[in-house]
Amino acid sequence: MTAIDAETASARIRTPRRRTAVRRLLRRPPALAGLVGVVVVVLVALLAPLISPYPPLQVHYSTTLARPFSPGFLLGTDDLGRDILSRVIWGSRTSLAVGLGSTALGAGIGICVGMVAGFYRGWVDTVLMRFNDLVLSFPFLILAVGLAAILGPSLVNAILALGIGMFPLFLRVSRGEMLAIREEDYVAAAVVNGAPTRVILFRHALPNMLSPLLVQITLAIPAAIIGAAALSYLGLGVQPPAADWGSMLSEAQSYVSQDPTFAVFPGLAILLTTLSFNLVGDGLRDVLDPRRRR
Amino acid sequence: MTMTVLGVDDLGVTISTDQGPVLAVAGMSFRAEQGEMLALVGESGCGKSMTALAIMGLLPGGATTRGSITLKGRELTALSPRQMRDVRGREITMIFQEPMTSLNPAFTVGYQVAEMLRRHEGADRREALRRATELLERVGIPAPATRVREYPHQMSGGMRQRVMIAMAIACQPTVLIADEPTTALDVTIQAQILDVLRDLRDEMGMTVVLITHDLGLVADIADRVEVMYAGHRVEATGTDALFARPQHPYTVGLLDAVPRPQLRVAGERMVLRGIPGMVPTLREAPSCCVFSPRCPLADSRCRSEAPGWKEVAAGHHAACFQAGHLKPTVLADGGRR
Repeated sequence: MTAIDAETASARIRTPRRRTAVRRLLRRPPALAGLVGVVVVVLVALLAPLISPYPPLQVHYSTTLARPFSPGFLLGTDDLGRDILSRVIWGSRTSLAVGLGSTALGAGIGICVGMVAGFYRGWVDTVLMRFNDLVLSFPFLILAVGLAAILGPSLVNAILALGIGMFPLFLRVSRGEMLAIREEDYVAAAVVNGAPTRVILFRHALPNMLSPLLVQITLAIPAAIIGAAALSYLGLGVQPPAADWGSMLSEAQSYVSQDPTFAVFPGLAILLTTLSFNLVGDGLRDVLDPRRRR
Repeated sequence: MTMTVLGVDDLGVTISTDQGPVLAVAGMSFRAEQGEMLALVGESGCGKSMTALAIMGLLPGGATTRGSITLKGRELTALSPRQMRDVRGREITMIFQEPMTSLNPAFTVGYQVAEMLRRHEGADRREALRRATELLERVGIPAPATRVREYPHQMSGGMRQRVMIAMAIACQPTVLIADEPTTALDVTIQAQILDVLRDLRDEMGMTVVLITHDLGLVADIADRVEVMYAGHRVEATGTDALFARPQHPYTVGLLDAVPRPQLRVAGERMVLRGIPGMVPTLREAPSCCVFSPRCPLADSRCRSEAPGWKEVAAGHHAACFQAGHLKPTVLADGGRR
């Protein structure tokens, strides 16, 4: 029994791996800053009705194109006299909705299809991967713009277009991981114990490929936010008068010579949001790679 | 009272490779009785593991089988993939050589044992976890209530193999196939794992098919032994008879290759002998004795004709022309260069 007791004692000392990964992430200043930024943006979006000084659509005819720090309008007003601060605050909602929604869609499709391709291999894999190559051969933004143009401009269609444009990235990662995981002994053990394929894919394989997918997801969100801004800048995303960073930029473009600060704040919002997500994604990649398997 | 639980009849497995088809198992037959510990013994590549995978219905793609596999009289080869999935884990299950990698690193061991009960017996989460704790205790894991919440990486190899066994026996399967269950473990832990298997066999009346190359293990635990060579069985008998009166030159060679310090005569060291050559890769059914290229006793008959399966004593069979009048000393002294 003493041998077993010693074994037990040594096993206790080690701590679970997930927790140390989070702790290591928080110890990196850039990642920590990114995380703070993400939390701030999310809070702003959630609390928009409470913290915005005016409703985003309220116009103030007497004060159009007001400069920043004018009385009552911290960041000034736009060409219709709407408060820019309020519109930037409300714009975070659409940006996050499109960013998170399209990433969730793309990741959902990509991961499921990738796991199937990697698990079954053979002709299933060949067909799916050639289709994937086909989609990948279009640049992400071109594809999204094309799809949005076909589907028609709206928030939901922007999510669809960006989501479809981005699933190949997830498909590649999850297929590669699945190819490795299907050879693992614990998958063989699950099969031997009578687990159906669905359980093997989602219960045994998916949790073990989360680390690289998590990195991919945090890096896809800012790409989707920029994509969303690009779509609405082109008039293919959220439609005016709804508050959106991309369409604000598009409106501000006409007034750059009269009021250059109009364009600065929505642009800054896009910059800081995507930077925050990117910093978190980079941090996660550093913490979870190189190959976390012991 | 004995009852045949697992019957394998004339099982053949052919694997297609880039170099053409390879005969991995060539007409293997055996029976395992209820509560019996049957050992399949042979070198690497002799078809032991392929036999096990064929029984589980888990041969790699491109493999074809013939022959019959019955579990309690039910023909397994005729079952649909879905029916076979229900058989796996519930009636027949398997543990592997590598306990370090056979558990899913993302879940607690308790969850993984409980999953078996939830899947096959529809137990609810709490009930399954309670029974998982009992199972961990049963396979000799100390402080099971604590360890049930631990992750595989927090456990040693021996503990993980116990967890694997707990998973395997969760649904009280009729047959447990143990494929080299102790090879990756320390010798001291090996003995403990064997004790666990033996106790389970005794208490639950489970049939254990032990796949191993380790004759020491066989002597320790098995009731009967089937010796395999190049996809064929060459000798089958009770464990005691095998060690006392081996009747196939290959078995004799295997026994000579086991260190037995007790045979050391005063001042003289025991010589460990290997068997020269390697297990051949068969592309087609041979028309001679498969062991003849490596057999010290092979004559022209052995090289032109396949020996039949003959009974040399009650319950003792061998596939060799010399079986029945084989003298180990002849092998050891005269037979070898």
